[in-house]
Amino acid sequence: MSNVPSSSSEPSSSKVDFNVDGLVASQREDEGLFARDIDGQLIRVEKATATELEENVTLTIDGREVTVKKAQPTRDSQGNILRGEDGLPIPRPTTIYDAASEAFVRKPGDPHPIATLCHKEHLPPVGVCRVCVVEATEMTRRGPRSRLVPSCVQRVTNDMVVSTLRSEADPAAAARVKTASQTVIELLMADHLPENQTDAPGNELAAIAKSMGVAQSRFSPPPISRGQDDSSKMILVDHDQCILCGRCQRGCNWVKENKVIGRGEKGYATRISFDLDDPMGQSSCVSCGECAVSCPTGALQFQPSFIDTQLKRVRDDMIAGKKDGDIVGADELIKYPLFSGIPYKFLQFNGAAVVRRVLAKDDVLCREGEYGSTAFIILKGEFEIFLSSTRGAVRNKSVGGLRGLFGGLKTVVEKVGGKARLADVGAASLSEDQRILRNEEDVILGEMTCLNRYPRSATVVSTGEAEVLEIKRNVLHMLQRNAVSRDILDRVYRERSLRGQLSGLPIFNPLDDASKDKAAEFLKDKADLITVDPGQIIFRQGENADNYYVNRLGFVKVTQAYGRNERVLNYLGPGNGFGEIGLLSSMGNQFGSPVGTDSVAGVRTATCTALDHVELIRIRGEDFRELLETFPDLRNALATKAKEILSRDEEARGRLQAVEADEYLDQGLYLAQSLLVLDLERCTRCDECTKACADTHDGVTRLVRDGLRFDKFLVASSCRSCMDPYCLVGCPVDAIHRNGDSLEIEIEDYCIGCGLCAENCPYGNINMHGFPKQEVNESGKLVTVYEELDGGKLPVVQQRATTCDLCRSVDGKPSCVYACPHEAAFRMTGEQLLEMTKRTN
Amino acid sequence: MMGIPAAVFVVVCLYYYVTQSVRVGAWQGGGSGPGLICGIAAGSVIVFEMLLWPRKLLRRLRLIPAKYWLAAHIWFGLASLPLAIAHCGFHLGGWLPATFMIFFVATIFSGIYGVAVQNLLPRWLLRNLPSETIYSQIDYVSDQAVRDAERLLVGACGRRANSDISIEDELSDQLAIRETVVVGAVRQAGKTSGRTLETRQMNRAKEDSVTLWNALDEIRPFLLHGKRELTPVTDTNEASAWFRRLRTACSEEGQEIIDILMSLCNQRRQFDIQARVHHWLHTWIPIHIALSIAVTGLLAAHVWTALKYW
Repeated sequence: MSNVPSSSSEPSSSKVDFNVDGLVASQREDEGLFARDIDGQLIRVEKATATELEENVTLTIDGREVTVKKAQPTRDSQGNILRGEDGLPIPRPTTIYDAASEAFVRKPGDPHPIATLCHKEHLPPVGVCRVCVVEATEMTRRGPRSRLVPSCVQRVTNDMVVSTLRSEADPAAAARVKTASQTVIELLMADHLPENQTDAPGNELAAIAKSMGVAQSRFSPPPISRGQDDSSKMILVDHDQCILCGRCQRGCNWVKENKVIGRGEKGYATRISFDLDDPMGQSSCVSCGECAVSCPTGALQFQPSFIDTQLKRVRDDMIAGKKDGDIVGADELIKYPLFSGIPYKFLQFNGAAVVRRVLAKDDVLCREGEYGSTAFIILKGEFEIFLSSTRGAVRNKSVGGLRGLFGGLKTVVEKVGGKARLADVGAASLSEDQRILRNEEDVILGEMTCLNRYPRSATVVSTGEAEVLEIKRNVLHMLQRNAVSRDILDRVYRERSLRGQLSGLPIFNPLDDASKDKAAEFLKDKADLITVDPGQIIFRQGENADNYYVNRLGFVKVTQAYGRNERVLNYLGPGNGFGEIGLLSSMGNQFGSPVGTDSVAGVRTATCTALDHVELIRIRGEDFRELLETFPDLRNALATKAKEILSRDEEARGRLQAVEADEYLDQGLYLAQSLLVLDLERCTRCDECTKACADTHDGVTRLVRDGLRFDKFLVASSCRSCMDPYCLVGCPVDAIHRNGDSLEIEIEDYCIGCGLCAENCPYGNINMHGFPKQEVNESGKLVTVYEELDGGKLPVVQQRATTCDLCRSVDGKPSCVYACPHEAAFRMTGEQLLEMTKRTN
Repeated sequence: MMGIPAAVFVVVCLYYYVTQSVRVGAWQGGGSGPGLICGIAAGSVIVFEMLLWPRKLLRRLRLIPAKYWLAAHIWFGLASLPLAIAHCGFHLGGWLPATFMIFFVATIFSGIYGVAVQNLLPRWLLRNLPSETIYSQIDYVSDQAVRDAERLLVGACGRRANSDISIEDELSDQLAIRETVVVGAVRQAGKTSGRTLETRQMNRAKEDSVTLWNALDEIRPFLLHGKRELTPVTDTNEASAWFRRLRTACSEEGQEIIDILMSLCNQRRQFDIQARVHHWLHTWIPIHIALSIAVTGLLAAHVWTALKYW
């Protein structure tokens, strides 16, 4: 019997209030530990409440006293806090495993006192393997009670005493735990660890057995074989090695939401199944690799031919791009403490994701303004960071002279004038005594562009001989799954986002340079960085004004309710400050004369909502007021600006929208840097643009001549080169990225066709197309793979993502525009389109 | 941009031709120096005009942006006519030059017609057919519209009785019922109009199930194939009356579904008009090309005979 992965057996992120991390609510207290089967999992944990997020619990683990919160915010696999409909974090109980992590794992590479197989901290715990068993002693009315409990699902209580198998404080308890764990391991080994896997790298079962000193199982092997499945060209499935821990299931269904893996059969024959128990290669599996990366045994392994082909493609790419450095393999990487939390199979899967680079004095590691998809782990040496005073925006411009006359284009980095952009905030010049130097203590460099997908905010130059590991975005993505490395990244990111930027804040423009520095110094320890999710409300109209905000990244919509209508007052890009009106009005009459009816002392006059992923610099109200009192010029300038805004809003009240940009905002056009716009009055629907696109890209068009219309313009379905490209998030092999100083999104040949980028693009501008599959042959060359079908020989088709690359693969002149005979096709930013529609009306 | 060089080109040639003709007191023929120069200029233009064809086929090669080619094609093409007339000294000559000239003029006028329709019809399409889609995709979009309508009815009324349902159907039904229905609709918001995806939570209209499924059966051929099919909604006036009757036969909950069915019929009607306009926009091109090929052939014959019998 087989079954489909039903909604009841999968933790789903859409049902966060119920089972997002598998810690399912249960109010009944007195049942046995394994008595209940809820949501397909044997677990017993009480529901956490919001108040428990603030309550402390003190317990002792292996003789070390630990104080943790009774509950923690539920996080997704990348560590982002999940929020309920009320916008508040969803609490989950703190488990013994969480507390032990907090107490014993301070930096990457620190050994965890509790071994786990079915649990990984980025996955919801299910407590099925029992390898993480510990002895927990709690006080009851009848005295102390000791039990062996699975630490991954057992919540902490006050005064609990926990002994792990490494406990030196209570050797007897440690021995009891060790016996229990060893028995579990032996049982698993007997059934699922063949002899050839005992030393296999990446086999966590073998590694744990070794660490516990279990060389051989006392139990006999299983009576039946569950078979193998080699139908997938990418992953080999050995059901006999599967311990049914469910990590692949959670990886597929919860992390990637592909919902392909379930369980089939029963008893000894129970195994994982794909769709309706189809062979993996014939199921709806998208080959994202998450299941194999998640698997702690040899049950799901990458096919060697796949690994070799990926390596070959990346090497070819490096040679073609004249990139220097040596590829660092999984076997070497796993020895670095920072990478110890990353599954071996992931490093194998991305065999060329890390490159060692050796730099000489004055070598440039990365340049400000360029797009990048890599970060640098500092192994040796020192680097100086330069923030220039003018940041660039990247645009396609006509070239001058005869070539320009004939439509020649070039991509240039130009200074941004008068527009609110990241560039304006990033501007900060440093004097000699403010030089920023980084060395191996700072761990990482260049991570910001990977995390926020905006251009690099600084130029980094080595001050002497140096060595770094250049890691791709997907490796950074994996580092974020681990709390310790995530904390490092988070701390570094916040610190660097604020440092050097405060004196460049646009609100300080009315001040002279000396005052700017003083104001920045004043805010140094007072401003903080907050992130806001798309759609989240930053503050509401009518609420008390508490903070001032400066938008660092992303876009914010300002709306105002008036009567029954809600109108969009403005949308604010990076560099804009907001929230000053409410704060100023609480400081007495700052406007000279009453303005409109909107302003009520200390109260918000509008609602601000994040349109996309927004990062804000927050200055608390009292600090803001103190700042204005210290710098009267600043106060006057802000008061004048606030007065202007209020007057404009008052005037605009007669109209429904102050900014006629409803659709513009809804469709995300504000993020677009290179829209393909067709003037429908000129376009004769000849499809030359589509044909040119197809001719340029091996017969596959990357644009569809249909889409939303703005006035007489059609925004064709073609990559928009968004400022914040969502498509870049989460690619398992980092095959999609943006590099250099150009806008285009590149999809490399080593794309595995999982379709995540296509799913992430909100505008449907990435498409999956079938291409003949290629593999490395014995002589190391890429050759097309064929299969016998109906007596014929046909190439195996592999899906690959395609998107508009602005014809970068040819010469950087978009073919669609070049081929339009009627001068109807244009490339422009969203803002330019809005301006054009306004002009034509 | 190309108008000025073309005008300069034709004025210089004609100035030379006219001054030479005035000097000798008669319009010079093709064998004379000025006539031959005008002939060579016109012939060169014809050859240049034909180069647009390979230029379009070789899109991948960056052989100067197509807009400049087309502009040059139009302006120099127009300029070639007075040059050709000057070349023949305002006489048609024998049967070959006469045939050549007739075809040449026909080619020029087919091109002028093309320029005219390509300037007028896109504006008309923009204003009158907001549902316009890619011409080659009309059948696909129509098919999709029928699927959307079926999903809509499944979501609102459930499947029709006695229909065979596979496991996959059941799963998609559950989705249609539990979630929202996605409708590719034409939206107009202020200055914006166009086809965008809308999600709607449909009302339950179980009691209208039979009526609405039967209605969809009746209009399905029209939604798929347009005016080629004779259905109650093929004619616009009859369609209004038919939908009115359908509205009275259905409950309040069913009205929203009828609105969507009406908009799908309207969309299909626009596709039919679009197909017609598309033909007007593009069918002149094969004629223009055929005439151009004939003109090029006749040009070659004309050159050969002229050189042979000079």
